[in-house]
Amino acid sequence: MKAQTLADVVRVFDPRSPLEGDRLTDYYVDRPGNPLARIKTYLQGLALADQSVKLLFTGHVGSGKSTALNKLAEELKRQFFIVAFDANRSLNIADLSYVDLLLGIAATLFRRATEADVVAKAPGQIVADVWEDIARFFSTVVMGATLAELPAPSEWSVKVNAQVFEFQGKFASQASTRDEIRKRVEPRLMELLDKMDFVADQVRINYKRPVLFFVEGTDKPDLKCARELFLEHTNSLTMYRASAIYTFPVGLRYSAEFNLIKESFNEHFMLPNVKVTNVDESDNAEGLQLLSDVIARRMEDNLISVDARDRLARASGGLMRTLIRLVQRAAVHALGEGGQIIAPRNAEAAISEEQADFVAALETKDYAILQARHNDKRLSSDEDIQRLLQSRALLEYANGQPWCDVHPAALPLVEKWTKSKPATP
Amino acid sequence: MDEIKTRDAIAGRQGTELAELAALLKHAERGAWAFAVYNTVAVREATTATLRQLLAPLPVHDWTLSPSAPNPLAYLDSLSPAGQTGRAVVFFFEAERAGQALWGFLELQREALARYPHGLVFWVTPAGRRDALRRAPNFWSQRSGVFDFTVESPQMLAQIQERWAGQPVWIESAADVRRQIRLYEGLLNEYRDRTDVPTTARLDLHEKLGRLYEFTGRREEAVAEWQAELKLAQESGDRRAEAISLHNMGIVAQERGDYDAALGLYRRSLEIMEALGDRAGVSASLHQMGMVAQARGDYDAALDYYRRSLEIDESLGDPAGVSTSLHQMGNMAYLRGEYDAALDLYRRSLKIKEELGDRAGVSASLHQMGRVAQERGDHDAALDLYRRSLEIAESLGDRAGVSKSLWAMGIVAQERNDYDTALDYYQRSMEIAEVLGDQVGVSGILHQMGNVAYLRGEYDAALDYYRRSLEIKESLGDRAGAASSTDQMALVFRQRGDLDKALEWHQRAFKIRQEIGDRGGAAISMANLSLLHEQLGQLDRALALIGQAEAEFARMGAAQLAQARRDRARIEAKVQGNG
Repeated sequence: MKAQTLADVVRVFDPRSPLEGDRLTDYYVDRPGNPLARIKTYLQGLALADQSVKLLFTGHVGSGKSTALNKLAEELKRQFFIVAFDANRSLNIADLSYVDLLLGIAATLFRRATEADVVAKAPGQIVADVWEDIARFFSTVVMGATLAELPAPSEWSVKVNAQVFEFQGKFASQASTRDEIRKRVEPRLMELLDKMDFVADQVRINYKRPVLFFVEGTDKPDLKCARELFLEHTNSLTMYRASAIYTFPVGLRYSAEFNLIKESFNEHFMLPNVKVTNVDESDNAEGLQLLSDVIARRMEDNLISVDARDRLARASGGLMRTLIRLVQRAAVHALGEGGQIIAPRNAEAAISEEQADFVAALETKDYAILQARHNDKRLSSDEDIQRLLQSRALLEYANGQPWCDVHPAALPLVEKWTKSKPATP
Repeated sequence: MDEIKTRDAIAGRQGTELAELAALLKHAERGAWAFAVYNTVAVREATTATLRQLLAPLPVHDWTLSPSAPNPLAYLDSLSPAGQTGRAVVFFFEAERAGQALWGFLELQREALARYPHGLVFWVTPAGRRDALRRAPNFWSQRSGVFDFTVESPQMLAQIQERWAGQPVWIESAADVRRQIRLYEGLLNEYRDRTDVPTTARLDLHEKLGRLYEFTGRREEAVAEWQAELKLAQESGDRRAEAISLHNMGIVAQERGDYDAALGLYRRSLEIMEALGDRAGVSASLHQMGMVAQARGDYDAALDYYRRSLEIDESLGDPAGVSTSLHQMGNMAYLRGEYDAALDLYRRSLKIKEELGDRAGVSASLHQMGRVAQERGDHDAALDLYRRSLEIAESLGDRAGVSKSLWAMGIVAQERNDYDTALDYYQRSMEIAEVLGDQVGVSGILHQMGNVAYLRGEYDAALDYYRRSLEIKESLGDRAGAASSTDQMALVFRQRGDLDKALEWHQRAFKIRQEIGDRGGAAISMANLSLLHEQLGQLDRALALIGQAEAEFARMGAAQLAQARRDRARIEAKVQGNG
């Protein structure tokens, strides 16, 4: 349902959640260079043929990764047994370790495979022995307790489901529990991976679909934590047999270590930002049109002036979440004035709020770096560049060769700085 | 709150930001996250007050974050099921105090937070805004907007702070009290590192905060504020403020039943007032000292203090002070059972209050006259007087007064054995007391509801009411009140035939009363203990105790004297019968 009034716009343009369900159907817009088709080919070609596929998926914060994965899940759900795991939701991302991650993934698989609807639909049931084994492992190793009472043979799967539920509740919220669990699980990680494989095999046999993990949130921890996860524990992350897609921090993509990391994965994919300009700084008409389409999908054309729409599209830098927020903020600004449509001045007000973020986040030395990158558009593994990519002051675009530019909302600040100081590359 | 002041404080650019924030919160039906930036709590409070009006009927909740409560999701999770699914706006204050933990929670729990249909507004200082951006970048990138309510000009800032700091304390609901506490605490905090703020402004803020804390039963914090006021006053040589803070701390000590400390504090205040030649201040101290003497059952001394206070008020031509003293002297006569004298004094007080147009005072006089009528068994007259008192309180919007009248009307109904009506009045009275955060009132009414249950023979319920009353009184440090609930619980045990427990609890009450120097209360305890020993057949002990109680009642001229005499006569007869 398209927004018919500015009040609707405020509701429909919600920067908080990715598209899913009906909203995915109604509002999703494909973009040039979208790697979803290639990812699908990979998975359908290899994973369906029982090969273990591990992929990395990256993109800027707010570029639309979650929505893209929702879209992919929608398209693959008949061929794969998809287990979506969000480290953000289930784990404490502030001190995320590889043990947490694997335990979280395994637990989600166990829980998903024991959910009532799944069990009911299974052509052939997974035997109780498997669940008894998992339940015992979970009690003694993970939770550090003995089973208080033994369920009836048919109830073991229910027991596993309940145990995982309890674990998930405690793990994210209780730091002391987390430490104890890590200590117990780490030395027995191989056993855990073994059980994951075993359950995944059973699922494959009984449900006729291979397990595919969507691991989200692994792009969110700070770079140090991400490095530890992907560099030092790559083996653990790729050792189990089921296929998986991991989200990956954009900042690490251009680090020197990336060459090492990518060797352990089949392939890496980048969800490109929508280009608003070309390397030569001319307008990218196709990208601007696409961003306009995103807006037009969600609201009636007569609610926004053409000029305002164009300004918002440019200022978003091609980041979806920024675009959504800018439109919502501009609508709020217009409503505050008693207006009926989004006028250019409303768009400018929204954009100036975006600029204030950069004023607050940028350090003095950053301006020179940004000016230099604006001039040469070159990406590098320099730490400052990684940090600026992570904070979105620099945005990466792919056009054959990847290149970068300053976020359009930050550009006026950089240019103002340049005028007051001679540029030092 | 005065609407014009609000508008002044948030004129111009801030008015536009306000309209935008309101538009966002109104229309974002599935919820939204916003940051509101301020640099003085004065503007923050003005803005939140106006927003509340703009957003009505959408409910707005306040939640103050702190190092011990840094998690916004925990707040949402704690709402009732209807509260979790219904649309509402939540203002989160003091993000800076919750610090790093808050930003960690926001980063971690974005999905869970997004499932709530609430509009969440985080009120932050410019420093808090920077922290949010750096420490919760993902949450920040999912916000709907940042709304700027900072005041740029330093002169304007000082003016606004001053105007808000200078507002009188108003108490209409517990929410008002919380808001004012937040405001005054915030202003004190903003003043902390500044050298251009006059000491009088700080003294005034400590004084107000103390009063607000005291009203909500947070006595420790009240005393801490007044102690800060005292220290600042002594350092700056502000003798008046020094006396006022001592006086205020005296009131808390008095409420706690720590009568010696209270008298000491009033005396120090009195000496300063005398040295300053502030006779009105002297009169106020004398008046309070009279109340302490009264609470101790030392009615002669009390009367003497009141008289001295009255003389000063008369010589100052302060009719309001005169009427208060007369009223208090009326109370003395009432407590002594001299009802004609009491009525005469109340009437004189009433007349002055009517001339002054002091309607709240008139309401209080009518209330006391109602109590006299009640003591005389004239229930109709009592109800009539309470009702008139109630009507005035209602017309004044004096909810505390309404609660008090309902409470008294409940007691009349109780005395008429109309327990259902009594409970109804108590219930209504308690609801108001709860809304006002008046813990003293709540504990008193619970005690009274316990009495009704006791009279009905519902002993479990009675014990439950008394226990709840006792818990509140203990948390408030109200030892005199605690003694009275303890004594009542002993009566319940006695009725149940559990005489050992009854003895234990009566003795507990007696001990408290002795410790706080409440001789009248101790006498009542002795009378109760006497009855118990009588029941246990320990007649000698019973006789000794009732004798002591009787002597004490006689010394005080208390109304219980007649009953004590009858009890003694009866026990004596039994002793002789036995002998």
